[in-house]
Amino acid sequence: MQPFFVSEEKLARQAYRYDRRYRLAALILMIAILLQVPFLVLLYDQNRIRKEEESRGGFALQKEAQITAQLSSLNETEVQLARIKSWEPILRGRMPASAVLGAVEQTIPRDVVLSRIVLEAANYRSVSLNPGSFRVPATYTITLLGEQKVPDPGVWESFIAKLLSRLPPGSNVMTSKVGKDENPKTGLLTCRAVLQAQANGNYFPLGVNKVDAEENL
Amino acid sequence: MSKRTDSKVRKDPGSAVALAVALLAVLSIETVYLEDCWKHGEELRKANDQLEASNSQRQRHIEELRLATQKISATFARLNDGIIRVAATEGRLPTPGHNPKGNPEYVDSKVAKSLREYGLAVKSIQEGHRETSISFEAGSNQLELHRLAPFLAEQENSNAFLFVDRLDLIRPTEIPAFSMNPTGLETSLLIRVLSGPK
Repeated sequence: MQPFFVSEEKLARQAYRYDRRYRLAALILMIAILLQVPFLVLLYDQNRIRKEEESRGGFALQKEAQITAQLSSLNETEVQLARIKSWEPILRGRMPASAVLGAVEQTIPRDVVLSRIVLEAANYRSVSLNPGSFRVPATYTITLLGEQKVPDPGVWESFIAKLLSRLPPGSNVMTSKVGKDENPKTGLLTCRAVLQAQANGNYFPLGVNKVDAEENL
Repeated sequence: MSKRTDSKVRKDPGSAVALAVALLAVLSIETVYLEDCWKHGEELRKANDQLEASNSQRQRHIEELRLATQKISATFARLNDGIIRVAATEGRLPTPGHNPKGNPEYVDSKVAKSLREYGLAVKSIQEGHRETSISFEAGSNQLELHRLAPFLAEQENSNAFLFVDRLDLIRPTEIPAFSMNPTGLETSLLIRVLSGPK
């Protein structure tokens, strides 16, 4: 009889209990079991999110189909709008000559009279249209020749400054001069000015309304 | 014998290592799977966000179109009326440089008619530029400034594509400056109007 007999089973149990490797394996097992809880929670959450997103996506696709159907009923309006937009550069480049004449009429002082007004479009650029193309000016040159009956050159200068203020922003006076009294009998001074107006679409200072203003439709 | 068995048991940790490896593999697979799920969810969310943003943008566009339909139609009709319609020859637009003198569209165009009715002499000019337009030269020596300006305004208001490329107004030399008499100006106009197919 062996008083200190230890069975193999007991030895194995001891080995499981005290060997580092078995302990490490047991620790990993416990951690793995513990991690199953957050894993399952996260998995459930992700599944819920996926279902929600899928249903949201289905709804958005339905909405898209509805919108496409609605847009097709507005097709004609869209085509018209696209045509209007294609004309926009042309409309922007047109400085109404009548508005310039109106501005000259409104700003000219009593002591000045004009003998010649020249308005000339310049610096053309081509605007592509479907079909064809159209040339649009980038600037307009305004030449004014006249006489004034007072010796003060400030009268002409003030007239040109006022006229310039009525032209689109960015316009400038290229030359402006008041000449000598050419005819001593009349006592008139000859005047000349050349202005360059920018055809940039901002013709409000000239008193021009927008193309789609109610009164124009 | 018991010592031998003990050492044999202690020296066989293969099952522990295998278990640890298997557990780590399971944990890794679970992590990768979760990450995939998360990425898929994120992709779905982003795609839905984009679709919804595009939908709301298009919806706004539709609302704006609906509200502006009348205005767009009226603006289009007004602008479109200004374009001189010419018959396409052999399936093409009028050839640039083609003399429109013999062209009935030119003769009948509203612009030429109204210029003529107002007492201006109208002459077509041959455009050397390759563009879809019709050009006129108009002149008069009877129009006074206070008559010419409103007439031009009327023409320009009724046709948004009427370009006055050149306007030259000269007071006749025989009229003295500051004359109070009505003065007919020597008027010369170069007018260009957008044309299009019928």
